[in-house]
Amino acid sequence: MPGAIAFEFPDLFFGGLWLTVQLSGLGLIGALVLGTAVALMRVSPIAPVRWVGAAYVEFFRNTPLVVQLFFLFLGLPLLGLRFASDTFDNIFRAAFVGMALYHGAYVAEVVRGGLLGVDRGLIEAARSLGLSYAQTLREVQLPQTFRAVIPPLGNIAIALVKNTSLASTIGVTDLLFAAEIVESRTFRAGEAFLTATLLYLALTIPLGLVVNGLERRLLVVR
Amino acid sequence: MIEFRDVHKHFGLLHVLRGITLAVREGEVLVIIGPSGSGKSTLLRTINRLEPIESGTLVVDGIAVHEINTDVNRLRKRVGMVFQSFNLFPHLTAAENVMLAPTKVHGIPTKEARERALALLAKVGIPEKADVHPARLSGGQQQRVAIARALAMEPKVMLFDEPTSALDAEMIREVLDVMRQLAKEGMTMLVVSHELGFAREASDRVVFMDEGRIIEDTPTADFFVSPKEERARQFLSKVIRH
Amino acid sequence: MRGMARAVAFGLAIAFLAGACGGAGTGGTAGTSSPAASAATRPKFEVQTFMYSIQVKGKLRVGTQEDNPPFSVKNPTNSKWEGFDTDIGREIAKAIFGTQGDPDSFIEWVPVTSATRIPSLTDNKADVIIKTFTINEDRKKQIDFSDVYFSTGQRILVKKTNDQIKEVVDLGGKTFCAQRGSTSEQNVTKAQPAAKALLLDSYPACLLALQQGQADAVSTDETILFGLVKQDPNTKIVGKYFSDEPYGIGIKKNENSDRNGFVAFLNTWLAAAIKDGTWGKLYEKHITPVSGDKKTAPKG
Repeated sequence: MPGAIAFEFPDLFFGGLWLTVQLSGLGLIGALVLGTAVALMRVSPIAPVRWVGAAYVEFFRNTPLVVQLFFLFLGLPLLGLRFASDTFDNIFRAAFVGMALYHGAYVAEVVRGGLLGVDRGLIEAARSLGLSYAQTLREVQLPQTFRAVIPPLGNIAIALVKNTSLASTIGVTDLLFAAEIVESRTFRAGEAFLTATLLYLALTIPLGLVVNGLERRLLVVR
Repeated sequence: MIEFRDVHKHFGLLHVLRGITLAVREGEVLVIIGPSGSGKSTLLRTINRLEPIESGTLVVDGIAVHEINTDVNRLRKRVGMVFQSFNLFPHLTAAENVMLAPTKVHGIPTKEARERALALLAKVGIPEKADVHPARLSGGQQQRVAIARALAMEPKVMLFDEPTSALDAEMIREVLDVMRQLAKEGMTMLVVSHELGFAREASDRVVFMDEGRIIEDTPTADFFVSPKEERARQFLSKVIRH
Repeated sequence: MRGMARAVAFGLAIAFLAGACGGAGTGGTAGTSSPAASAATRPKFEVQTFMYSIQVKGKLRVGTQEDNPPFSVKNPTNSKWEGFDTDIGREIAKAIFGTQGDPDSFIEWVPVTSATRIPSLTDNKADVIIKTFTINEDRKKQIDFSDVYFSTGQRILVKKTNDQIKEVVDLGGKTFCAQRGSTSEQNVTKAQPAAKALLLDSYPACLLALQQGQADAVSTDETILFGLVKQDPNTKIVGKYFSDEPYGIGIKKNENSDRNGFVAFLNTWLAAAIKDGTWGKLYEKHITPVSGDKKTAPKG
């Protein structure tokens, strides 16, 4: 039976799955918060703020995630910075920060597009009611934006789940890691990687359905 | 209440307001007419500084709109605006649209704000639509929610920028009824509109604009009897025949 | 920093890991000697043996790696093959072709990697594989091995200042780093289940983790650790072997009688080379500079 090997090495596979879930969930929250903040910077009326936002996006979109992860894991300590004194805590947090930074850049671009796509009339209506720039942003522009950007954000979320597998290169004992360890112990490469594939699908397919559902519900409200 | 003095504005090379001087007293209802591109909407939008002016002075309820450091939010609390395209917030219900500014800008508790919102929706004739999202409302209903939304801030002046031009005939009437009611209650109103019926019935003055200038500014009664200016006369005959 | 780390990683990877791309090209030297001229001084083999057919062909094809110091390196400046494994190849050539003349004139060098070792034998691209080739049961199913010509095992690399970790058991509760997909992690975990494994893509990355204190130790074959110590003199290798890595010379299985007598010949030659001190000299020449010890035989 495909996937049966997961029950021969439950600690590795299900432990790895759990780490992948944690890293994906936290990474997604981080990416959304960071990406939204950067998107707001990119539409700011203050030019230097826009430049910082643009620099962030360009840097993190145009360098490989693996390199960023290695920098966070093995580069920062050279500068005397570390996320945690315990090695494995440090690795996990480095991976989390890497996921948030890298995907945050993509979220920023999507949210920026959404912000710019909001009907000017709605913004004028809000401003003419006496809402401040920040209030308009929070009460009108962002809610509108998030409705528009749910589908592309869903794609980023799914990409993020898949990209967490790169965290295994810095030693995070995630799902891919589990498959590699089981493969090296048993030489049953096919089973090990098929099982990991099935478990990744078990995460990404429901995620896709949730995104579709959200999209439909929001369309009704629009 | 509102006083323009030699106000100018450009859009790029286009000189859209060319020396506007206009005074509106409290409780007056003005209807502004004129061909498209004559600067009517721009004139209206300078009053709450959606369009900043370049020269001249503009004072609204004692606030110097032309001064750069004027608190625009303080100004806008006193000036309600209704748009041609309604511009209701699609993610909020009718009542929430009305409640948003009072709760966020004035800090009124949600419960109280909702009561007032329901009262306003009743006033514009659609109390039963309080919990419906804009997408489920007709154009006329949406515009009435928009009027209620503006009124919720208890403005001293209401600006209407072609409030009925996106509506079918039937719906136009329900919106105009609400506006007539407001005029009767003594609201200061500036209305950009070609609804001459409304102008004749409800307005005190008619202002005719062309090419960024006020060509004619006449008490309503006189305007319809005999426009002083030839251009206004031609325009009027076109609109009426139409 | 990233550039440096990657440069280091790349350099070390090239130097110590088996990932080199050395598929094409032959490392053979030109220069031939007339078989007739030296025939008199040549060892005599039975006609049906593999050694005889090699003698007739005039070339022994030796498969080894271009960047596996101190065992085999193709010197980039003069294209000469150097190292313990390459000299083993030269000794075998001498045993087949005689001691007269340059042994390289009888050798065709075939660059291999870890992954191409077995296929280069089964596809008959090389006659012998001499490349830190650990003898194990899985491999024995596909090819034949000579007796053990070099014996190493897994040991532990720590910082020079570390005096707590002396043997693998001392890794209990400690973090050790090893390469993903290698047997090194399993060997440590078998010996000390309480050790925590940090598994990275390469040993240079492990060395960085050790330098930064993110790992307390690095563990793998001693020969790889030698290279890391050379890279960072602030580290040291400690403990006894806790796994055996016996290297053998790999040859094609004797199917269709096409390798008659070859395994026995290699073993006889090896025993003699150990007995007459040739092996000890090669060890002293190539291994002692990095290990600091001296040996006269693969075991002991």
